[in-house]
Amino acid sequence: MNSAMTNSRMDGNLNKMSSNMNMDNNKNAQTDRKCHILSMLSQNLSIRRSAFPLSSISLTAWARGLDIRRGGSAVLYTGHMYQMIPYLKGAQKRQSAIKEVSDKMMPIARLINPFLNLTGIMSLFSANKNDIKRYNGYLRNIAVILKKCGIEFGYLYGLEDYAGTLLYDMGVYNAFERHADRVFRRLKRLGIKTVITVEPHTTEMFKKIYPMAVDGFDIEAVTYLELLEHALKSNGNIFSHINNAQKRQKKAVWVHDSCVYARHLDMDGIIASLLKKTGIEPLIPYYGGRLTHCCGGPIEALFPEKTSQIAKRRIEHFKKGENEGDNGHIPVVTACPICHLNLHEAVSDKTVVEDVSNVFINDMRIM
Amino acid sequence: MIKANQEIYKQLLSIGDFNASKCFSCGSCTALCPVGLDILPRTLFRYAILGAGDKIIEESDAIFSCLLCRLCEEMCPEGVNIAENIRMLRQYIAEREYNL
Ligand code: SF4
Ligand code: SF4
Repeated sequence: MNSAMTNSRMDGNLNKMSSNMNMDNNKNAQTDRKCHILSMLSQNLSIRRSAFPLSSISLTAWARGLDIRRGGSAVLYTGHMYQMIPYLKGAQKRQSAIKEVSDKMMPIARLINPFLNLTGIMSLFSANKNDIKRYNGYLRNIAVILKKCGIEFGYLYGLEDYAGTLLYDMGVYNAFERHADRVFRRLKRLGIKTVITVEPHTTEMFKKIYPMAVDGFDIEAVTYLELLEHALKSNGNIFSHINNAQKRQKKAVWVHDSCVYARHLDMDGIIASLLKKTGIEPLIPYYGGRLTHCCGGPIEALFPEKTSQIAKRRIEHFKKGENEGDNGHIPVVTACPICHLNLHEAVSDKTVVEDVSNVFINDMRIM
Repeated sequence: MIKANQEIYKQLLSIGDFNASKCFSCGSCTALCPVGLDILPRTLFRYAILGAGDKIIEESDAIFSCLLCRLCEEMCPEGVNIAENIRMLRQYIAEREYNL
């Protein structure tokens, strides 16, 4: 064997070894990163009753001026999801800008977090005012829709808890179970019999997971979409159809069903059927309805890059279904704040991503 | 070499309805997966049934990058709870490896 060959093989082996070592290091770093992030989420849930603790003012600002009573047997339950989005978006952007530093700081952050609310600090001043207005606006829409349907409900304001979805999904079950038990006990103490949910994740928690995880859980959960459907059966006139110009042009929207509504809760089709009743044409994309495609959101806390790729691919499904004349002007409608955030961020043209409550509210009688 | 430990499979069964043994490795579930996991669910399920703890830990990135979206389950002819099985593998890792 000549020495050139030996050297090149040795180089090859050394390269392989060093690349294996790099891969191992990357893998270890990634593993540690996952562990640190999950630990901090778990600490937050145990100490601060939320995965992403926000101030009570930020969580309840949406209800200002709506004259919603405190408590009562049926309450609108936000689960903090719409309110969190502007802060999550801001914190993600800040974190990706300092990714290397923040990865190195993880072990220290995990040690400090029980004493100092680091997630809260990260989110301070990170949210854009327009985003806060937009997501709070969606919650206000939902409250107004319920009132127009004649439904009486209260709100728990600062006493409302996050349901714990992220910890359950990530398999951090011990912290989730303790939290779910606390949430249930608080709801019982406050005399709550029914929670009216506004998005799929909290809905799934209360409809499916809490009854399995919490002894004696007996609180009814119903989404505002189901209540609206019910109200329309008894009074088809809730939607006005007074906007004749809009009716003549027959507005069409793409429906992005959430995976949780469609496949976890068998509620595929509810959004399309409600839209039809408002006189709007629901367009179902190639992956739609029961076979809806995920927005990528569930893995955002651990793999934000993958989330963004998946959301971009999802937007492509709508684009592929459009005719040339549409010019990207067909809005995409969602019923989940996480889907809304990810699809909104993935759009690269003028396509508008809207919460379905906005579409409903624009066509309801008596505003 | 795979180190097998039947206790691990027993632990997974004790978490909940871990029905990986129903999987007959047809591969239909991978056709629509939005993530394109680095490892196929059926391979993960083989590791779990064998009790290959090291392999499960090695594949933790793939296990934590599942969206739990259940698109795969629409394709599965055997009714495997693919997403819930993966969530239970996370629970195993969180408890055993991360002490959470
Ligand atoms: S649940 Fe997980 S494995 Fe199944 S399709 Fe979704 S991302 Fe892929
Ligand atoms: S589709 Fe079902 S049976 Fe086939 S490989 Fe996937 S999990 Fe196994």
